[in-house]
Amino acid sequence: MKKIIIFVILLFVFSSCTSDYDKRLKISATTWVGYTPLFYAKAKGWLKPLNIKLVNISSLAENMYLYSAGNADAYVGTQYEYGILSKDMKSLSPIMMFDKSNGGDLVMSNFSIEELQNTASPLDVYLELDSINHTLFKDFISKYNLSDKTINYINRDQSTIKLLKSNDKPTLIVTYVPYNFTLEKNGFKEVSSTKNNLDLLVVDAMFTKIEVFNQHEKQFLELKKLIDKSILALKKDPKEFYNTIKPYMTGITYDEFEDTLNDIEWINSKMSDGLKERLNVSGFPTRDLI
Amino acid sequence: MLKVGVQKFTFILVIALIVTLSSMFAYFHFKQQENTASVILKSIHSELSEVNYIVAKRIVGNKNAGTFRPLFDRVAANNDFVAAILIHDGKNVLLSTDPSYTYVPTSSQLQSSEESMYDKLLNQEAAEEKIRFYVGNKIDSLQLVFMLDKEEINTVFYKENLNFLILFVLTPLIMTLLLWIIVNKFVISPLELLRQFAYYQNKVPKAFMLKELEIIRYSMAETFERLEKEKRELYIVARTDSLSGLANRNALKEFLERLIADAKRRNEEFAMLFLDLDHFKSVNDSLGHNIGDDLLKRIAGIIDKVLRPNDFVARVGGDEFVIILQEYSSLRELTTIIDRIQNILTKTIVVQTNPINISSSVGIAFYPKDGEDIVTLMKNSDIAMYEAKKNGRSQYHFFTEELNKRVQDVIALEKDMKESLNNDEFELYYQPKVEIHSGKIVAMEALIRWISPTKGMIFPNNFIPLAEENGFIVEIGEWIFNTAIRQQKEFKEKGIDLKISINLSPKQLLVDNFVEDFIGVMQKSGTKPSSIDVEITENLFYKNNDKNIEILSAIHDYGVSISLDDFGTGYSSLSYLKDFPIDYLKIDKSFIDDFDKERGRVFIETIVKMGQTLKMEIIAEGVETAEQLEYLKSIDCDQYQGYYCSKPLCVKDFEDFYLKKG
Repeated sequence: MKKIIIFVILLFVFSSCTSDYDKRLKISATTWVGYTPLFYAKAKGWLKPLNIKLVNISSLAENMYLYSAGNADAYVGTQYEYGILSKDMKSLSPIMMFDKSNGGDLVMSNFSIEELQNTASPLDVYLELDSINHTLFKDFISKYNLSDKTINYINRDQSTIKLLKSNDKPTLIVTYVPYNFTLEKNGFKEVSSTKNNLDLLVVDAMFTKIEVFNQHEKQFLELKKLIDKSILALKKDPKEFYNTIKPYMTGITYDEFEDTLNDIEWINSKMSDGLKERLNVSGFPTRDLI
Repeated sequence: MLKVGVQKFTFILVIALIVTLSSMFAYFHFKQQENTASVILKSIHSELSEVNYIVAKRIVGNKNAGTFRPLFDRVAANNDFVAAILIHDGKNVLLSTDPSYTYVPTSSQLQSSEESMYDKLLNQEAAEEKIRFYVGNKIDSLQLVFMLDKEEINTVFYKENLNFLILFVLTPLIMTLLLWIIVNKFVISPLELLRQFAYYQNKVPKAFMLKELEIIRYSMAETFERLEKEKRELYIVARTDSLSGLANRNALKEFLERLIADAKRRNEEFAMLFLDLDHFKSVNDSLGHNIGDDLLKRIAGIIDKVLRPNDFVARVGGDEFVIILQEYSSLRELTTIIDRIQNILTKTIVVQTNPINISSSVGIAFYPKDGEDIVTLMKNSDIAMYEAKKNGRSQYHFFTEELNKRVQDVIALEKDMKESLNNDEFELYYQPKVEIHSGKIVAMEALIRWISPTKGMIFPNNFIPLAEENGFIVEIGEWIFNTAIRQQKEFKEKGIDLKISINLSPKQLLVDNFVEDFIGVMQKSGTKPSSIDVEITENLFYKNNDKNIEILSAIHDYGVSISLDDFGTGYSSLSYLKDFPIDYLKIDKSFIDDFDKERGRVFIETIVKMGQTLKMEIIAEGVETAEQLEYLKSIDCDQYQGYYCSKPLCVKDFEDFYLKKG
């Protein structure tokens, strides 16, 4: 009788035991160059064993809303997307850093700064309003005294924006790499970026709620290792990295990709104390970072 | 009708319950699975239609297919069951949300022949709809495909199946097992205990928790206790004689069955006495049956009282009793017991103011000599009893004539022996003790002879053991001592001044004031203690050891020497030689007879050396040849006794022999 009881208990215990990765972790991301290590890991097939599903969204705002709606377990974005959701989600926290924009966010136009300042026509501005684009643009108009201009805000995804063609109307586009390359081909030119003229600090990170992190802790920890591994692979052999992630990065050449890398600074494994301080002061907590 | 145990019945019931419930749960589970699959498929197709509608309204051809990327990304990201969305023109994929899906799906990926929604969902890999749109006024079309996330779909159903397994298979199994344990503990085990209790009735089960079972247990315990009590009473009634209160024939039978088995195994005998009251019928006839019954009760009580704890008595008929005696060392002891019973019964018994004198006749049969089974023993003891009646009643009779004669002879001998002392039929004979070194007679041993006028000379071995048994030895011993002292005095007067040895029986030492009487006789006759020697045997060592040491030491201290007779044939021990005041060690004749054998010589020489070392003088008994004497001389033995010198002689002959020898 005792043997039967022990057998049944063991059966019950073993049947209750499940894999560490039994619950799928769904992460949504845009194809911003800073997030490419995620796509590299996906393309390499490293995410499957961890039961991680990576979905790509065209805009940061869409990405944020997808998470907000509960259709993703974690999302990537800038401190702007974090700031919006953290107001309502108290346990939301950055858990993984990717990069710091160093020219990767930029303003493009078919007019020069002077022409923009002097024109009397209203300015058409294409951007993702619910994203860092908006903050960046505010900084831009302030820096270049365009506040008195009539501005038509046109809210579009970057994948739509990149299809715009230059025409006679003064047009401003707030975008980020690699979408700038298509726009350049379409006749737009960079007028300002985080590399030179704009003071704005833009960092890219992954966010999730602490309770979700706790549920998927092992997957997140392993993912962080894979991100570091991917970035190392990138640094070691950018060409191979490019070829791997190319299908996700529509219409970007290797040269353009290489240029893009100059526009960001990887902060996945190390962040200066100054940057940490600056982030914490601006309401971007670093305590839960892996 | 098929009979099934509670355990098996419960097992079948539980199995039936499990099978029924599991079937029901399985049915609902598969139904639920089908519903879930249907809902998933419907949601996928609905979403597909919705996206198709949006795309169809905006698309203008292959060129702007890429503009739907944000829409597709959003839809694919929001729907867990969609792995990717793509548009193709039948040959090429124009847009895909996931670079790993860049091929046109085959028809087998799109269709499933399965009827079940669940199977369809599991087998189908993609869902497709045609996007119809106009280019100008010409209708064109592309294909919109939702690639299904098989992993997600499988996960959903895997989880459902796992939950089903845990909730509806494993949990019921555990519950069933627990139920089984509980039922086993509280119902089956108690029932088994009740069954064992009903069958063996040896152990009352402890109280049960279930009320109904406890009531049954309690009732059974009560009933069995009552039955046991009644059984005990019935057992006693069935084995007790209602009139006398003694054991009845049944009890006798049971007792004998056990006793015969025991006696057979131990190779022992026992005696069955068949006792019948003489002329009991006349008591009944003259005084009435009630007086007769009362008399029987009284007699039963008397017999019961006379017997020892291990003896057994049963009333087997009107005035018939059977007595079983197991512990007796001799026929004499047995007849003493029978005498005691018969003597007591001959005393007047007053029953309801009527003084009644009654005697009894006893027939005796022995197991296994006179019968090896109950029937034979009863029959033969009965026959013996009738012999006793025939011989004049109020006596006992053994079943075997030879035995009967032997007992009667012993009784006659005992009677004659007692009379012979009064009739002066005993006589002392004297055998010389010779000093080996000088060849001089230095002492004599007084030996009793019974000269019966009817039977002639009777040697001591024919009557001394009987005298020892019935205690007559004390009187004989006293006579020997007085006669020997008197004779020694007479011998002395005739110039024969010899130390005299007198044999002493252990029973004589038991007489109160033995030492005082012994010394008193010597003092009265003026006998020097040094002229008296007392011969004892080794039997004296182990009976009343301490008291015997005390008595012999007192005699020895007075000056009487002590000889140990027949040394080496009894229970000799060096510690006895140390404790008892022994002066002479008499080597038994059996050792002397072996003097011509090496082993015999070793024993003789050892005894001589040991005795001399212990400061004792050694006397060899039964010396019959010159060779024996020579040998004894060679080993420095002190004295000898035996036919070589002289056999025991009557007074006259001894005088002649001594004077002639002297």
